[in-house]
Amino acid sequence: MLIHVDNISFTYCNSVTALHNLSCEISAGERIALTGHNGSGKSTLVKHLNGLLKPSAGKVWIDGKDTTTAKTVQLAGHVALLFQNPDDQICKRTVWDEVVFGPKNLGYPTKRIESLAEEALMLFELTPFKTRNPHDFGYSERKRIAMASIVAMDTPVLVFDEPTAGLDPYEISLLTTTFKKLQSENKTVIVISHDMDFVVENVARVISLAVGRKVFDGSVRDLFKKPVLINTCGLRLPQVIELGNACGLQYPALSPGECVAALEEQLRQVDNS
Amino acid sequence: MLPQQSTATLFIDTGSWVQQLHPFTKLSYILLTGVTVYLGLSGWKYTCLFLLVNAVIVASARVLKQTFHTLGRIMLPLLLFMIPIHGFLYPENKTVLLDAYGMTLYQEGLVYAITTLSKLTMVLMASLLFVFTTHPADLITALSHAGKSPSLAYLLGSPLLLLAGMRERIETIQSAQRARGMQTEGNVVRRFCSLAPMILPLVIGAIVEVEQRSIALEVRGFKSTSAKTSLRILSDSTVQRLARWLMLLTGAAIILFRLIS
Amino acid sequence: MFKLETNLLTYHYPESEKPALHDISISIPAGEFIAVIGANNSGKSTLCYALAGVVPHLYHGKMKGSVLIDGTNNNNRTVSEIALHVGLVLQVPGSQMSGVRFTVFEEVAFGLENRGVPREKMRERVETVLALMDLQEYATRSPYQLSGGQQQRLALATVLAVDPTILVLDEPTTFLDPQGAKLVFDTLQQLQQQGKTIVVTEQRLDLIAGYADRVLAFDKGHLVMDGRPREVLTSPKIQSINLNWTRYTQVADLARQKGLWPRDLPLSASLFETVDGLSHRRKTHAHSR
Repeated sequence: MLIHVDNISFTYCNSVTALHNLSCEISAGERIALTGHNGSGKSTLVKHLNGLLKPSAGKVWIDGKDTTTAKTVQLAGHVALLFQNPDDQICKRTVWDEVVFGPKNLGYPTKRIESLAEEALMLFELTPFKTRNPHDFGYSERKRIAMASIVAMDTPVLVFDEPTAGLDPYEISLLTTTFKKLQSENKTVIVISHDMDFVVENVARVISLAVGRKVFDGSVRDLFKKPVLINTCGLRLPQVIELGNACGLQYPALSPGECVAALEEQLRQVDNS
Repeated sequence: MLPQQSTATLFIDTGSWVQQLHPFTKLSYILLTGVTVYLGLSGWKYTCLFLLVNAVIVASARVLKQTFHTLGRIMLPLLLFMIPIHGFLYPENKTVLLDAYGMTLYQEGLVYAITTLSKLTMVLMASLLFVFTTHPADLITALSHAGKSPSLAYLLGSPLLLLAGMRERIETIQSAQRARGMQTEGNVVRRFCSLAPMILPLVIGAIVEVEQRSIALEVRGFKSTSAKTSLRILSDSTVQRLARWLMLLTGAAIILFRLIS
Repeated sequence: MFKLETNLLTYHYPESEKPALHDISISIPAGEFIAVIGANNSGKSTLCYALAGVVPHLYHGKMKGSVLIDGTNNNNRTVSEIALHVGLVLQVPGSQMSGVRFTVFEEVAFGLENRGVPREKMRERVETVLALMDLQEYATRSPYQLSGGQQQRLALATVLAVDPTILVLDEPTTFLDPQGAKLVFDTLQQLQQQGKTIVVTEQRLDLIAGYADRVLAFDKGHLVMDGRPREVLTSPKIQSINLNWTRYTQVADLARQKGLWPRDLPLSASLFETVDGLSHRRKTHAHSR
């Protein structure tokens, strides 16, 4: 098991309890969405995966390492974490320096650093801007730079906190391509997102939190059979599912193609009856 | 739930009479205390009297505990540092008080240290009284009422709120960099090197914020030339106004007297 | 006379070669709900800034053409004067805050204080606006201790305090969850019903379809489409300006290919229209049997 979260609880120093007896297991190559209201504990949970936070009770194991004893510096080589605001992360004066910052910290050989950085820049269509200052660009480009620097770290687990916020559809398609590539490399991707249309098309499993507790852990399709849950998590049904429900489809269709196929089937049944 | 943002204000809402005073009255009092202590009366009796008077005011403002707690935290280290330094090494040391283990403690140094510290204590006390009993919003209001330029009031007022968010942001930036494998622990050189990736995001963030805020202030009419009004009511009175003038004049008189003699 | 008009508006940011807006002419009657769409850097934000006079008054740069509010050219007014007519809500709600007010109530009053509104009137107005934005229970809270959605409503409240007739919002839902985003649009719809003219930029096309009267699509500083939501959002051009059809439109398009969509019915962009289109087909299907 790559990630093993074993019955953890976490309380902030101002005695706000952010996580309650939470457990989950995640294996290599999984694509997972973490959903829930603002303040449900999603960000707190992912900060446990690289030791930025240590559980008040329980244990987190990453690739067999106990995060309470391992340092964040060591865990950073296993779990890369994209922060929500790119401006908390960008700390170099050229795009290139920014992207190689992580891999350099991890002590990779120069050759490998360069090829990783080139590849990450290409994925987010940033190659022409290598020598430019990240702060010459707008928010969405800075977000892409931040994502490229996380991908370049070449870790077995990648966590993205609200990656689609502020991106336009084309930029989101770059992210989708990146996710596909990461999956082909058997990497684990965990994404915190409110964007259900993105979630439904990019992940297989959903873990939902509400006030620090796990309220759902299962397939995307199963989640959308539980409209009450969607509501308590501050989410909205993806458009295709909403449409399917409104048309009286029996099973949630996850893509426009599936939806139309189901509609055809429905019509055929009407014809036959 | 996010950790609650700390605020940079030290104000304690007690509703006491000192709290009701106009901020400028309290500021004048600090000024008068400073001038009196450093340029005016000196000597044991006055010092004790002053301390007593201040203690009574602080107590009636119901911030006695907080004031003495803070005073102790600031003055105690100074006391432990200055007493031996001056007691042993003050240049005008003559009268021996104590002689042991090859070290000599002198009276002059001791007196000097205690005098300096007691002066500081009094000014500090008056300042703490101000800080604990004045809501920053009242100070900002008073400043913008008084000044022709709203920018000064803004300059003095905004750090109180903006700095509060700063600490949280520093923590987030630090986490973001640690998550990318940056070493923040270890020897001095390494720690120093880890500062750079912290400072740039912080500074750039501040610049962006200033730009956005200047737009916000402009569209909210901050630089509008029409006469401004104020939501907060600052209680002021003729007595207070007189008292302020009296305090300022006394201060000026002491300075003048000092310059002449 | 139109409420809001731009005539051949072209604007260059300082030190920028390409114009951020290129020959934009729009006429907006009072009370319309306008959604502005476009990829990032297409000129949406700059349009918002231009309507509020932030461009060129605060950014300088080179501007040609004009922006008229109720017939008055923005060039003849200061930003603060324009703000009495055009309320601008910035993308990040935190930056709308004054930075010198400690409670939500005082924050809303800030703009009124600057305009010299008498204290009693000010209190009344703040209370009205807080009630309108459903923020009464937070009146004594610090503006910095609100959730994202609450802070966005507070930003809107600070703008509404001076009662502008036009509201311009720059991507107000970027940092909100889907329910929060919907709430913002519900609020805007209420304000429209009270007679306000609304201009809002938005990335979520599915959200727009149910609210806007008219959609403007921007691409690289050009206004490329201007029409009813259904017409603009389902146009094949959407894809060519780096946007995506909503999933509703995608389903309608596929359905049409499979013969499940009435031949003479245009594609749809909202849930309601799509369900309607699909049911229509099923009815005719049933009738033909």
